[in-house]
Amino acid sequence: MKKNKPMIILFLTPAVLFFLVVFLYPILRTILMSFFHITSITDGIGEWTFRGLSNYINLFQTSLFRQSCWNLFRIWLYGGIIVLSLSLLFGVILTSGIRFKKVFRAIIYLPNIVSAVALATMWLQYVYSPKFGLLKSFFTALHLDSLAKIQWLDNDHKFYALLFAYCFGMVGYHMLIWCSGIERISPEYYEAATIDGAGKFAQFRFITRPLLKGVFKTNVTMWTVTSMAFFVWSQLFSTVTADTQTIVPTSYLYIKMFGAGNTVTDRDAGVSAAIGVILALVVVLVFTACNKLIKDDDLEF
Amino acid sequence: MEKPKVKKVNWKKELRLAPGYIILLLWVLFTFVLLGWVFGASLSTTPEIFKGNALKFESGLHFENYAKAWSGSNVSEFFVNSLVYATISCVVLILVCAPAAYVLSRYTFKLNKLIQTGFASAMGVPAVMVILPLFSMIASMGILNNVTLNRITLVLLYIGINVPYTTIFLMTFFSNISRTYEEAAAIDGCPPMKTFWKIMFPMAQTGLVTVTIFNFINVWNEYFLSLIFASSDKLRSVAVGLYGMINSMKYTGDWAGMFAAVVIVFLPTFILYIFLSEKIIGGVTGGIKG
Amino acid sequence: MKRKVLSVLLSVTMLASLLTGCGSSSSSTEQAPEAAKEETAAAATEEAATEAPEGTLVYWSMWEATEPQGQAIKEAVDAYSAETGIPVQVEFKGRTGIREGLEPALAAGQQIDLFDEDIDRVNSAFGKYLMDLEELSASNDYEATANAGLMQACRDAGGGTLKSIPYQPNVFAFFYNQDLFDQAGITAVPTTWSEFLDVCQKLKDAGITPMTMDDAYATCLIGYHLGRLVGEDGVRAIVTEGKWDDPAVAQMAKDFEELASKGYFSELVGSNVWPAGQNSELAVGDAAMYLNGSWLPNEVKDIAGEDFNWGCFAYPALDGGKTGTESNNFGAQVYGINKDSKMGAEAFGLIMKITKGEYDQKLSEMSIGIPADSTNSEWPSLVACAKPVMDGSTNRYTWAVGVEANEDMTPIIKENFIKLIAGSCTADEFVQTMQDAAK
Repeated sequence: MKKNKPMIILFLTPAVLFFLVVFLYPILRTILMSFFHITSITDGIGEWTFRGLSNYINLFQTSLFRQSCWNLFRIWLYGGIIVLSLSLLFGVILTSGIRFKKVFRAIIYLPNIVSAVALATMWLQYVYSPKFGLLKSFFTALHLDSLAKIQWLDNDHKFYALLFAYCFGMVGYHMLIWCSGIERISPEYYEAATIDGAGKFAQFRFITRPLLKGVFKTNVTMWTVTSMAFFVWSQLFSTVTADTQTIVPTSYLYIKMFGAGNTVTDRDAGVSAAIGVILALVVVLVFTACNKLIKDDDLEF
Repeated sequence: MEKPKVKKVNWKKELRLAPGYIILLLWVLFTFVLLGWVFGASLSTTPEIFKGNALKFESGLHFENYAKAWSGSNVSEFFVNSLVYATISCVVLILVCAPAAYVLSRYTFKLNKLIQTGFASAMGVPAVMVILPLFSMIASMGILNNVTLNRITLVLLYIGINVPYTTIFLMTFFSNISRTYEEAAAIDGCPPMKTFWKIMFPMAQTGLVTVTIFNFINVWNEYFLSLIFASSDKLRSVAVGLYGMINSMKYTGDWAGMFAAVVIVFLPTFILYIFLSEKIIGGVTGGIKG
Repeated sequence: MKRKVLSVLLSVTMLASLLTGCGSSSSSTEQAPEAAKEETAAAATEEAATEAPEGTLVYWSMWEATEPQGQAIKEAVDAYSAETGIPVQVEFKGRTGIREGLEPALAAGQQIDLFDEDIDRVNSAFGKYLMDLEELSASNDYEATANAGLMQACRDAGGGTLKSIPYQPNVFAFFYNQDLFDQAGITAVPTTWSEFLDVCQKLKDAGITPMTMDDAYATCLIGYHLGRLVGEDGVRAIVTEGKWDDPAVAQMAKDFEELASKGYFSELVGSNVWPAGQNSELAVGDAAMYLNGSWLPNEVKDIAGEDFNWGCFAYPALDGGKTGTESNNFGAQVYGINKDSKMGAEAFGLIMKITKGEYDQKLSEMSIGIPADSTNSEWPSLVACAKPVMDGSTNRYTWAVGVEANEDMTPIIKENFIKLIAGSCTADEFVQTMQDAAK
């Protein structure tokens, strides 16, 4: 398309201006901080001690930080597969011309806007409860006693308990993104296909999938961003002291920045900054990879 | 998407859709059990919750949990604050980000990749690392000592921190729209900027609505920024005001009250969500078909 | 289209402000964005600066306005303002609000005259902003009616000088259900490990789960046990220098392996996430003992009921241990005054109002907490059981007796210790894992 300089400048300036004011200084400062030892994030530059790359090196030598990265990776990968496929399934069903679509859509999205504090409490104290939990009663009713006996929150199961609880809340969000992508595909295609006798699967394969690449990219980017910021659920699943199964880099960052639990430990905002830089790099990496791997096709529809 | 018309049930079609119905119903049932429990717990008592009887209501329904949660703090003021913050930022965000996303997705120019990467990395930087330095900077400028300026600062920050997210989100929606529309408009002599507002902007409607819903909920539930920047009680948002309440219920062991507070926090978002998505999607997309 | 979106959004705002307007007619007009902008233009300041007018005390509180502590403090503050004519602006920031927001605000030079938080955090994290209070305390004869142990703790935490004033004291010990003890025929609380094992066995024989635990407090259990053996310095050395080959660690592991194998812990300790153990096991009367702070009776009062018969004893002494039942983790919330405050004396006056006499008593009653003023000798009945332990504590441990001093190890200690008490790993395995992890 023909370039239109004034338009590019006019359209971009406000967004870029906001970005520069709100993000540029903090990001540059964070990058700079990651090379120093800093007790408090608000300390002036005069109080910083230069450390070179040692913040990064130490981080990767700390087994707890590696564990936190591993947890995050598992959340991103397993959770991503669960959430994106479930939400796509729902999105496809919802847009296939079924009745009560709006009701279904609203209910599936609902958990995403309920405060995490409530949802986490609900999962921890109700669903997973080994005394009167939903899972326990469900499996007992089915006479699956070995499953009913599982303590879902012990060390072996805690991570998956957390993962599933988190995914439950996220499905609705990604379903909306899928829906908004699919809805731009004219519904007549589906109507016609359904009446012509094309099964759901065929419809998906020949109509939906090719048209959804861009939305898939958005979904992956958004999933990556939200999982990088994964924090609240980790805190809620391990109150007061961090837990090996639920710790993620952001909670480690928090410990380094504000001190751990109830004991006053050494604080180092420089290490926190290094974690921030690492997380940002990961997002950029995934973003670029997505852009490279999934080329937007200029499809006509 | 169209306004529901009274249609004859096409049984053949419905039958084909049956597996879809079953899957959705199962999930909805599961959701109902879970959220129903939260709602039930908010009308129950703490001992009943921890004895596993939250849904049996042996001692009746306890609406006083809501009364307690509501009267505890200045809830209505928090609501108005959050509504103002969220509404203004959502509108401005669309006006700022939609054009930017359009340009970034349509044109190739030198800074394009750099801006995109900058926005993407901004989304990856944890909020703490952004908000605390900003606070130090803004607080030392003395801006926070005036309520009105403080309020404006807050709204600008809400907009600012959501710009990268909104822009990147919207890029897909523009890049997926065929270029033939602009070409046709150009032939008709419509200038590009007008083309954008008249043709492209409406075509990205579903994306705009979706991202507005997300932005609204983001701002409504935003905690850390308002915690740090709202220097006076008058400026507090719902999240800070009511999460404080949730915490105090937790520390005093009033779990039933906590769930009531949770329902109070989430209900307006939900109603607005239904309002936004049903009214806007329903009213708009019907009118514009490619 | 744009206009449509806008108009919908605007009508939502208007609708909502109409609705809420019924409740608070004053705020809805003030808050409208147009009004806000006009105000800037007019610079007329009905809604005056948040910067407190000259002569106002600004107090950032760790409590929420809605919790009992917040309400009691608000009353004290109002009384203080009424008596002295000094206006006080209280901002209830909550625990996270103080932990995360106070330091940036102090660093940016915002006017905050006094603030409160946990004794150790105030003195370390906010230490450089604290005013020395020795003189103010002496001239007001503050210590005549204060808990000497806590004042000493504040001095220790402040590096030898008084920089903070304690209130809402707490002590960490075993809290138990007296009715279940009676039912099992237990007449005296255990003071040594063998007596403790006896008590557990008696409870077990009576068909009662002797004790339970939540993940949040698991480290306190291991901390206390190690602390009894080698003292807090010893515990810190183990966790920070990786001395997991210390014989005390092996003994501790053996002791807990024994407890676990004899079934003295609830079957659910492996999966209890706070507050499952305290709420659905201890408070409902299924389990008898729980190691926790003196805030526990307040936290579970709705479940346990007002007639719950609380008992309390210090962590038992161990054979050949370095410290005994006189050493406990006790502490307090403390007040600190900003060293840049122009109203130090007034701030101290407000602290006196809150931590002495009538309002200290009120705070303790409303929050079922321990009074700070030593002349307020009557403790709320639910925590009165902790008085002997508090009074008998002469040596102070910090939180979890320092076992959390190495933040990189804490989650690993927690994970493996919970496995140990849940019976899913043996004492030897525990020691081995910890030694490997510390390498």
